Amino acid sequence: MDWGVLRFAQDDMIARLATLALGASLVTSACSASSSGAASYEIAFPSIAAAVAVHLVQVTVFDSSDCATLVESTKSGQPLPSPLISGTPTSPCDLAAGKGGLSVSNGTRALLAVATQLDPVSHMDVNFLIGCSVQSVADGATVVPIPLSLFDVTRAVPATKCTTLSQHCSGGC
Amino acid sequence: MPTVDLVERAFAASACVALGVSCSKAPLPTGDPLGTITIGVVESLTGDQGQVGGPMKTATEVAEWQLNSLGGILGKHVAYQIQDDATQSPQTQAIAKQFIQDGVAAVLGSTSSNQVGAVDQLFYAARFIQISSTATSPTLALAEPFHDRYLFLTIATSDRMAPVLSKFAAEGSAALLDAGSGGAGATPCKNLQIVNAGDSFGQPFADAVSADFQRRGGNVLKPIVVPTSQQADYSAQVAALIGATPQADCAALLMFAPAAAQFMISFRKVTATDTSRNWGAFTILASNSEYSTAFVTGSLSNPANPSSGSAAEGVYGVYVDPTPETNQYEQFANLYAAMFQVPLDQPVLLRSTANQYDAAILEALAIQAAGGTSDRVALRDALYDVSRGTQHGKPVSAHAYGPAELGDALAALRRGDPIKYNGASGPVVFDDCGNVTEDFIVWKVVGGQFQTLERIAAASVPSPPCVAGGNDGGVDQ
Repeated sequence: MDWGVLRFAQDDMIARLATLALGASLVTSACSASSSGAASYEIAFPSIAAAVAVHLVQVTVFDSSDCATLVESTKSGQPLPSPLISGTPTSPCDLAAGKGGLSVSNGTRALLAVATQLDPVSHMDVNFLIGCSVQSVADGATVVPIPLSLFDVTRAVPATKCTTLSQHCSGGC
Repeated sequence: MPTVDLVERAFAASACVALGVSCSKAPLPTGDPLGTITIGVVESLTGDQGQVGGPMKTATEVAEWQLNSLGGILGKHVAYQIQDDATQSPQTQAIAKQFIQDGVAAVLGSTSSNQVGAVDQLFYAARFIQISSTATSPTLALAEPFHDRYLFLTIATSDRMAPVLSKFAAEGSAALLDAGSGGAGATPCKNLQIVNAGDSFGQPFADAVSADFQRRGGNVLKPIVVPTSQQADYSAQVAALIGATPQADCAALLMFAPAAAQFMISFRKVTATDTSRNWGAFTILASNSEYSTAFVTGSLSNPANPSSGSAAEGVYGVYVDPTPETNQYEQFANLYAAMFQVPLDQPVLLRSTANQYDAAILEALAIQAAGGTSDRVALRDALYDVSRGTQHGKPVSAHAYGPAELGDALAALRRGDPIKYNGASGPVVFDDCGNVTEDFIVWKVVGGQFQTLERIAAASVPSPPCVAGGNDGGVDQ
């Protein structure tokens, strides 16, 4: 029942990775047992190069339908409302391996995803990609794609020789 | 246990079907609780203008992706519905009628002036905003009323490029500040032979070049008019050029790239055996349409061999600056490169992508500013506002936002604050004729590549006036 999809949304990229995994799902629950269900989210990277450059992705779920404010608040360093749940920062490779599952209650939810990149000098995580999507979480058939775009548009995506994420994850490029 | 299904590129198409998802667009949620704002996009992805229209699709997808990652507009997702008109006007019209029937929020496209001209009255009657980022005919400004119009262009029109081309023709390399950059060799021209397509692209361009060249004291010979579509052979037209009196010492090709490429093949072939003059000193200038790989590759002596030599070699031309040296363009380039692996140092591959991105963003900002899409007059007025930095048509102190601050711009509009969008292609300030001003370049084909010889600021180029009453007669109200 539970399933998740991590996919690359660029059709002229080299690879498309689909996971059928518990780990990338939103397992929903509610006070009423009859309203429990499952949904799934997909992290949509703009390209293989962007995915390869990502260190960690964190998905945070809010009881909100206002993605715009969540994104703007994050980008400007403003405080965010209390989340329903903060996912564990997970690498793209681990996401592809099925990790990153979340359990949330039913309702209209905003899923905010922030991907970080390791700064080559400080080796600290810096925000690299961001995206947000709203979905009614109640039905196991739904998929919540979260398109990630540059957090800081003045920074370019580093070039890569990897043509697939799996190449990167296996250290093959 | 989780399972992983790796689908390689070779199977991407079937994977798209299997997964039930779109392969070429930003993904939208299934069971979307918020709804989707759909913007229609009609471009020539195939046919004669396919090489120009193709990048318009990718540029639109960059804007769509960025907008949706920021949470969309009016709290809704944005979907740009991209349709191919195959450079065929009947197809453009069919798509336009479908967009109107579907009630899309606004429209982008089409690619060529001919296709835009085929549908602008449909969109005008329905009060649908239409923005083209590649059509350059000044007749498009005349097709709708002053200010109360729905057709806009985010690329400078050909009557604004004409003085740049005309000046270079008249002065030769001396017109360039840095003739040593590769522009040396173009001799001043006294007798200009215009070879133009007799359509809404070529004819107005020819008229504008002719007027400006004569204003500079040059002599314009009787024009040679060719069909819009590519012909198999242009020997007769080249013969007419050779036989023109007084003798032409330069020529301007004002037609679409496929036709110009074939013309150059005929020109090189015929002049190779003509001894009436030194053809090595004969300058050929081309239009914005020829700033395309279709022009160089279409002129190859052996189409199967890219190194076989192109008849386009040595041709000069004009274009709007495809890669402005601005922060806004750099921001767009980063966004584009994050999605598409296109060499950013090859601007010809990216021609007009910044203009298309700006058009897509301007429509989104206008929708946000108008607070909806049902009042199409308000939506059009909002387009003027976000382009000009006005509020309800009145001058205000509006903060300027570029591609990097798109989220801030949307947030400002949600607060009711005015904004000014500074585009990747330029300031994109729409005048009441629906036009913008842009900087220009003079280019030359060197070694099969387009070399930029000089950048020319828009402010240094005379711009045709946009005045009330100058274009109120073209539309049945």
